[in-house]
Amino acid sequence: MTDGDLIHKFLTGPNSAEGVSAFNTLVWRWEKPMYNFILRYLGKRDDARDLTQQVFIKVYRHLARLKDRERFSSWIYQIAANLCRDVIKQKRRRQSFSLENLQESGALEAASHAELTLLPDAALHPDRVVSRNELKEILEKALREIPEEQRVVVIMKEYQGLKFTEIAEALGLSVNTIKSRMYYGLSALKKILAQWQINEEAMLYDV
Amino acid sequence: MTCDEIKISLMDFLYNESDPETEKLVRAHLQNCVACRGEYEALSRTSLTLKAWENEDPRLHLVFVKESQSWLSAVKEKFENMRVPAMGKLAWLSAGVAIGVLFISALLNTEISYHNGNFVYRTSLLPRSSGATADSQLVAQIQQELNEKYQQMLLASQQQQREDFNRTLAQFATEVDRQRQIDLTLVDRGLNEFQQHYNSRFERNDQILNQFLRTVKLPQK
Repeated sequence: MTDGDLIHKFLTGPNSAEGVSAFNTLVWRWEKPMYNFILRYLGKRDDARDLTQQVFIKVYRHLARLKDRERFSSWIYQIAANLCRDVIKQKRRRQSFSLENLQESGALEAASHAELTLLPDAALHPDRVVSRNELKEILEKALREIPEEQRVVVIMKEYQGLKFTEIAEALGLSVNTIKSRMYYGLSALKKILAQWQINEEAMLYDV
Repeated sequence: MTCDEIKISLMDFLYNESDPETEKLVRAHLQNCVACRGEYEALSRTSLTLKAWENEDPRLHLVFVKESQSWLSAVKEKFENMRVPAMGKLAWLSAGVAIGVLFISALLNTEISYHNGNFVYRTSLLPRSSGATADSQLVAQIQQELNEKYQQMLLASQQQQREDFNRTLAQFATEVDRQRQIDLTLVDRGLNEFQQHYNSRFERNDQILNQFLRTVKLPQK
């Protein structure tokens, strides 16, 4: 049964046992992709759990407004991306407030020095073979290094396997903009990983 | 295709999304341009490295259950989800206004009547009293008439009951009288029969005694 079929079943009887079961099947299918997308976007497991739930609550409430049921994939990613962006905005607002406080106390300089510690430990030992878990952490940090607008495209392409047209639809941008962001995001990651001496050899040794 | 132009097409090529024609052009360019070939290979390796971050299992197991809704929220949701066209909204609005006006006029006891070519409009917080008193008078009159009729009927029925009772009593008395007559005749007849029976017994005894005396006298001679 396709997502479209499940949506149809749910919308024909949202309060019937069949409708609820169809919706739960849809949730079961999309729970993992949504959680992993949000986790890679925001980098926090608690946030990812909360937001995954919120995504499905929004889907439940607004599914009737989705005109083209075949575009459910783009639509649900659009919801998730918007929620993530809201969270980032909220955090930035809080951060800017705390930065002002830091400036007053003269602690801003100390904070900029602290950024150096963001470099992963593995990068300090170029010859070391990194474990899969370490590599995951490194990639998590590397993704956080690139601009958010590129990060979301890289995640959607590399991890969620969306087509460029689907990403464009989900983010409401032109396909060429998406491809360009993908190119710059991937190039930036290439540079960061090279800087940290992380290459596919380090990864392959571990396999 | 220049090295700058290829950047966008390279993305399609890397993720197998390019159309056959562009693919041919990209391939041709990569064969000839060492720099772009190196860039493509590096990006391809980066993409491969990124894949090492595997999906996690959130173990969320979200399940939606049918929630029991209060009727108020159900109605609210229905209205929120209802997509009413502009004309429909207008219709709902005018219906609401009409009901509101009717309600207020009912509260104000509004009266509009037509008399001799003029409309008469009247409102009051209290209902019109004159009409009500006339009504109550009429009701009282009807009640009184009903009462009188009821009394008459009651009397008539009592009269009839009494007559019925008297008639039955008289019938009973005559019946008792007749029965008594019959009984007395029967007693009289019985007494007569009894007397006759004894009389005949006495006569017979007399005869027997006379006969006996006669037989007794004979030996004395």
